[in-house]
Amino acid sequence: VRRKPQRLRNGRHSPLLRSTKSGRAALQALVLWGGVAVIIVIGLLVIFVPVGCLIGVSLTSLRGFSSNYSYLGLWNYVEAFRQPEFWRGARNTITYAIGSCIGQTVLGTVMALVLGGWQARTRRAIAIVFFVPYLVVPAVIAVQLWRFLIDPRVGAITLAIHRVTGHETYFMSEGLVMISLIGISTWMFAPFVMLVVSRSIEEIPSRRFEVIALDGGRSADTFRHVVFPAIGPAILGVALLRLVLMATKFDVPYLFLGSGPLSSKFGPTTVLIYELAYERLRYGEASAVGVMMLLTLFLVIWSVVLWQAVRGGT
Amino acid sequence: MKSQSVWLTHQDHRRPQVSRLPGAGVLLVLILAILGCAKQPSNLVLKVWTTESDPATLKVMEEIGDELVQSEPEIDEVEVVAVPWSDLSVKLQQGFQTGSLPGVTHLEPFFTKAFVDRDLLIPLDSLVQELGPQDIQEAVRDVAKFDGHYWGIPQHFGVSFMAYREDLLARMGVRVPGTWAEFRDASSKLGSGGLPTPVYFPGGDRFFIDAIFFEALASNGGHAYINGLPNFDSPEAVETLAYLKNLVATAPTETWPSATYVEGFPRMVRGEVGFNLFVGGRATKSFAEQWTDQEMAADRIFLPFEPPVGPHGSQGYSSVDCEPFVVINQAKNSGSSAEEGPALENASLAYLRLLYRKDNYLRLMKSVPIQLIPIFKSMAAQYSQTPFVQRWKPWYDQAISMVEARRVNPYFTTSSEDLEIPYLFDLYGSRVITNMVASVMAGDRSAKEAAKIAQRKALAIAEEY
Repeated sequence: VRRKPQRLRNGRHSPLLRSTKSGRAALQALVLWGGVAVIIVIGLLVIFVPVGCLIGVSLTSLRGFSSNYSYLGLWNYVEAFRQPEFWRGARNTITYAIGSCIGQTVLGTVMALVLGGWQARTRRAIAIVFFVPYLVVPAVIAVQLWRFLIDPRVGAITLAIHRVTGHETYFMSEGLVMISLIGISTWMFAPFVMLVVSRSIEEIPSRRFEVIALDGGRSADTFRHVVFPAIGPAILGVALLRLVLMATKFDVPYLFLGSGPLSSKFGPTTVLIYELAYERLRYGEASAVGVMMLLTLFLVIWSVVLWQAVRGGT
Repeated sequence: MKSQSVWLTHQDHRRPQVSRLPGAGVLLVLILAILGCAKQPSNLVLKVWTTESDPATLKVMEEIGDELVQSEPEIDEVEVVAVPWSDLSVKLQQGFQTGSLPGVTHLEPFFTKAFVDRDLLIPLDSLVQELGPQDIQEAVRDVAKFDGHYWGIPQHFGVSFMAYREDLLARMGVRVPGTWAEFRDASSKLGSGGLPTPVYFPGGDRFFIDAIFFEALASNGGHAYINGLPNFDSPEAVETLAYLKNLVATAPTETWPSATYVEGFPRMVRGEVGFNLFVGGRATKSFAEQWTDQEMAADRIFLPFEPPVGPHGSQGYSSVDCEPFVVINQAKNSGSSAEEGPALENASLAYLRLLYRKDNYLRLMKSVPIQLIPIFKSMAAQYSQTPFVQRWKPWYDQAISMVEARRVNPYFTTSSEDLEIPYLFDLYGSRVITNMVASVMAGDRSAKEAAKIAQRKALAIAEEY
């Protein structure tokens, strides 16, 4: 419904409201391009400027408590490649990120599928119960809680295992510490996957289930022909997101491993970056490792995106 | 209809004006507030960062701050902030980057030289002279003295102890060890007697791994540095690594890499641990609080013993805990203006003057007795009469005897002269020592191999300075 142009008190039209069609189109274009410009400026400020600074610092000898530095070129990168700590950190990052990503994706998907069988209202209520701890429990509390539960002397889990098997289990021993870390991360972040996959299950039209039921399909057929094709892209997307987030995770490994030998041996690259920057004050070297990590993750993401594009997916 | 329409038109004209009014008001208030803030004289807030976490200690420090605010009208507030020791260097770096460095802060003695070299501190010579350097315990007086200037004053002194459960040892017929060989035998005996952890090694925090290694090395007659260069592949160092591995291997568990310092106290109280390789004086307070058996007094159960002597050593050495208070050079703090900087430095000195005044200082030391022992010899007699100190006298006596005999070294050193070495902070951060000890204890490398690798890495760091 078009409204008549309003008049000012003196009876004349406002110049803006007198605008013609083309004037309005110009205004719309201005708003549109203005919005785009704002987004680009914010993007530049939030993403490219810090990354640019990181790259800049990685080419220098900058250290803590000092503003003096010299240009080193790629020396910090060469130096990082020569350090066994760098490769150990990379190995640990791969193990931790892939391990916990698989754990979260599998557990989160199973949780979503189990929830899918419930009524919508119940499903949402249960989903909230699972998801709220993910949102509100800080890593420091979650890690402390688990450290307490797996304490070799008084931990509820270790005591339960001891009661059943008669053996003492040392979850913080070298053989089990990475598995424990992956397990805790799986527990912490699986609800996120559950929520995303649940949502994609909800979006499956009910007639598809009805059709396969009419054809005499069993539960396995329903999963194979209806559910999985529908949730597959969501699982892939969320798994990729979780992989990147776990590869850049710092708080959980740092809090769980402590600052002793476990951290040196099993700490991912993020912990190494922290040590270089804050314990040795070597900002240049820490930034070089950070840039390499950034590039690696960028390549991983784009490889998956390209692979999807080649396959014709979205 | 017409009147309604007019009314609506009238409303339409008025509404934007009315809704703009609160917005304009808020904007005006904001502008005035910003202008007002800009024109107001800046408030002098003195920040004091301390690594002490005990509420009783913090309370005394805050009260001293209140007293300063009362006596100095230009100081508006003294803000005492407890910074965990492990976070101190991170917080200081962040403070440096953001221009929010404190006025006064604690430092570790082995950090101090790095700070002096970066021109981050102001000398405290006049304050030390006022306090009387001859009255300060020699073992700690010079921990922040470089190039002939005092850059810091220790807040207190405390020594590290090795502790044992007297009743457990007596029950199992084990004697307190005096040498490494005796310690190994005692530990084996406790282990074979069924004690879960004969020797508690707090390996979950690398600080304690390093501290235990340096103490043992000194007790084996070794030197961590010679002529300012690392000396980690000496026969004494290799022997020390093998000793630590064998000692902890007597425990049938593999929990040492995640064992935290504070966890050691309840484990000793529960009777799971025979010997604890490293506790501070604060342990007495923890034992007193956690021990619930009414029949036996805690101070008769938990006792300290001197570090056993290695085959190449002649006497045992402990670590001395004596974090100095330093005053930050505000010219290096981008957050303080040209006028504010000197005022903050003066306020910092005034705070320290007040803190070291006898009545305040004794109150501070008594907030955690045994852990905090006065650095002033003239206060020793009065302090030792504190009921808690009397109760836990063996601990106090050992601390005093170790300090007076100069059988203590600052952390990360085997001699107080080592504090002059400029790369200690970097070496500590590099984890070279932690990884050396841990790799031997975990069985990844032989003692000789690990020592050789550590020496090579430490030399590479030293060469940069």
